[in-house]
Amino acid sequence: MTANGTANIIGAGCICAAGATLDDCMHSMLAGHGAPVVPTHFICEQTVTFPVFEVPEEYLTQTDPKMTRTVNLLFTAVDDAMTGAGLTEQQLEKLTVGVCIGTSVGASLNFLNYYKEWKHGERPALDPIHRYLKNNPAQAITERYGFTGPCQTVVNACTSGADAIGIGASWIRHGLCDLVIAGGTDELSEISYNGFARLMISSPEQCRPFDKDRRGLNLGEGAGTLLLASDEAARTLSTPTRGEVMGYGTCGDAYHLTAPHPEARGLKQALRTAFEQADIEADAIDFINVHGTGTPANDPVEGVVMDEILPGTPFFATKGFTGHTLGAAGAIEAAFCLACLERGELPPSHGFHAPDPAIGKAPIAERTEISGQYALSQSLAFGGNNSVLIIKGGAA
Amino acid sequence: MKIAIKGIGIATPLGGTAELAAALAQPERVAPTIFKTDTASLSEYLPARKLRRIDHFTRMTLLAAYRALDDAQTLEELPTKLGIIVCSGYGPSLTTFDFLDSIIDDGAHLASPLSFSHSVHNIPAGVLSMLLGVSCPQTTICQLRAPVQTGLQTAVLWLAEKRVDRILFGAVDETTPILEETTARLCAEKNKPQPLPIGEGAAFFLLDNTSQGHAIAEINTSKTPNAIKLDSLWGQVPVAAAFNMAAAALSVKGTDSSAHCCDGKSVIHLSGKTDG
Repeated sequence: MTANGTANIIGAGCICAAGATLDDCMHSMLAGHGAPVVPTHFICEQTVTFPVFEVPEEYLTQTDPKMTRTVNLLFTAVDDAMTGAGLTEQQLEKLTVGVCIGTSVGASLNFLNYYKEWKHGERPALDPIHRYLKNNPAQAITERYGFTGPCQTVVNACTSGADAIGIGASWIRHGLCDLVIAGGTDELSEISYNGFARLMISSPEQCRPFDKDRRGLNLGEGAGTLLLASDEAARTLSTPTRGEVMGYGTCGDAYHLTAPHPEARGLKQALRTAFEQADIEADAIDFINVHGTGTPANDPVEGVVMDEILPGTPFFATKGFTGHTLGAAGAIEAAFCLACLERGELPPSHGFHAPDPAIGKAPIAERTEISGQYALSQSLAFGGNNSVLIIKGGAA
Repeated sequence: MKIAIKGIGIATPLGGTAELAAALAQPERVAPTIFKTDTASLSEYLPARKLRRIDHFTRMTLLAAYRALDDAQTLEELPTKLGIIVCSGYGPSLTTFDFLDSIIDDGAHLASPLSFSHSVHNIPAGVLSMLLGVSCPQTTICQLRAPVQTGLQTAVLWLAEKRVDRILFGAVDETTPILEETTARLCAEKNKPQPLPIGEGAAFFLLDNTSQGHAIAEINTSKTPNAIKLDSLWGQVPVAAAFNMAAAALSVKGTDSSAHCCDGKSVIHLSGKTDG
C-alpha cells in the first residue's frame, strides 16, 4: 500500500444556525451576528431553559420526511459542497466515491416516544425503527447516490466530524477511492439537551468561549462537509483545488470520560501526530480554530496547549455563532478554516468579552485580516478523544 | 491490505476462544440455548472496584480486549504505540435505554447524567484505554453496513501510516429486550421467520503489519469464498463477522491452510501461513 496521494479539497459545504450555506455562515459570522434561542423542537423540562442554536427550517434544501433531520442537514451540506464545486451527481458516476461521516445523535437509539410506549406495554408503530435503520448518516449518503467506495460512520462524540475528515483523507492518500464526501452531522435532540443539562455544562445564556465569565456551552445543530479528491480525480472533474487536508492527529487522554486531561496529554500527542503527517513545524500555523465550547473545563486545557506548543498564534472560537454541534462540530469548523484561509479574514470569537486570567490567553475578539496558508482546528470529546486537523489553503 | 493477528479474544454466550475451539472441533455444531454473554471472568483481569458502574456492553469490550492481549502474551508489558478501534452495529444500547428510563421515570430534570455519559458510543473505547493506562489513538464506528470490514480497513491504514505499531481492534454488540421484541415484529411485518435469536458479544484482535502471528488477514479480497459462517453459535448480531473471523483464524492457526469469512459483501481472507 502506498500513501503518495494528496487529499485535495475541491468542495466545502455547511449548514448551521449561522447560515444555510458556507458562504452565508462566513458572511454572518464576519458581521458578528448570531444568538441562541429557546428550543422549539421539544419542550424544555429542566428547571432552567438553556438556549440553543437551531437551524431555521427554510435553510434546509432537503426535507425528505423519511429521513431524520440529522440526515437532511447532511444532504443539505453535501448539496452546498457540490454546488460550490460546480459538480453534478452524474459527474461522480464513473468515480469510486467513499463516504466518511461523523455523528453523535445520528447513530443513537434515541427514539424516546417509541421506547416510552413499549415500556408501558404497548406495541408502538414501527416507523421510528424503520427510520433509524434507514438513517445511518454515511449509509444514507452512500445509498442516495449509489456510491461504491468505502462507507464509514464515525462515532467519537464531539471529535467525530474531524475524525471523519482525517480518515477520509487517508482513503484518498492510500488510493482507496477517487473522491470522498467527508464531514459530520447532528440535529438538536431532546435526549442530548437533557443529558448536557444534567451534566451541568450547559449555559443559561449565550456561550462565552474563553471568557472569564463563561458558564458552559450552548447546543447547536448542523452539518459540514468537505469533498476530498485525488489529484487525478480533481483533474478528471476539472475542478479547482481549494486546499488540502495536510495533517490529522488523534489521541485519547486515558484520564476521564467526560473531562479533558488538565495538562492536555492526548491533545498534545494529537498535535504532534498532525504536524508530523503535515511535515510542518508548529510555527508554520497561521491561525487556530479552537474547540472553544465555553465550559469551565475545556477552554483552560486548550490554553495549556497553545501556551506550550503554539504560543503567539492567533486563535478564534465559532461556537458563539453555531452552538456546539457535537458530531458535526469538527467538520463545520474545518470548512470554516478553509473559508477563512480563502477570504483572508477571521470572524470575532462571538460571546468573548474579557480574558480569563486563569487561562492567560484571549481569542480574536474582532473581525481580523490574516494572511497565510495553514489553519489548525482542534476538537475535544467525551471518552477523552482529542483530534486535530491541519488545513492548507490554495492549490496543492 | 494484509495484517497479522497476534492475539484473539472473544466474549460470547459460548465463552472464550477455548470454548470456541472446542465447538469447532465437534463434528456437528451444537447451538447454544442462551444468547447472553457472561462477563464474570473479567475479575481475572481487573479488580472489582475498577468494574463498579461499568455497563454490560463495556464489560464485554473489556473482557474480549484483555483476552486478546493475554493471548498475545502482552498483558504484562503492553505494546508501545498501541491504537484502539471499536466497531458496533448499534453501540451501547442498555445505557441509552437507562437514560431514557431515567427521563421517563424521574423526569428530565432528574435524568441520570451518568447514564447519559455512558451511552455515548465511544465511551467503551475510552474506558478500555483508561483501564489499560494507555493514552493512544482510538476511534469507534457505528453502522449496520459491514462494520467489521470498515473497522479493519481503518486499522490497516493506521498501521500503514505508522500512527500506531499495533492495534487492538474489536467488534461489540449487545442484546436488549426491546431489540429482541422489535426484531421479531420486523420479521413478522415481512412475513419472514426470525432466522436466529438475537445474540451479543465481543471479539477483539491484536493486529500489526508484520507477517508473524496466528494468521494473516486480508480484506477486500475478490476471491470467491467458501465462507465460514457460524451464526448459529452467536445468534443474530450485527458484528457476527468478527466472531466468524475469530473462528476462521483459529481454524487456520498453525497450518498452511486458509479460510474466508464475510461482512456483508466484503470478504476477509485468513491464512495460517505466517513467518512464525
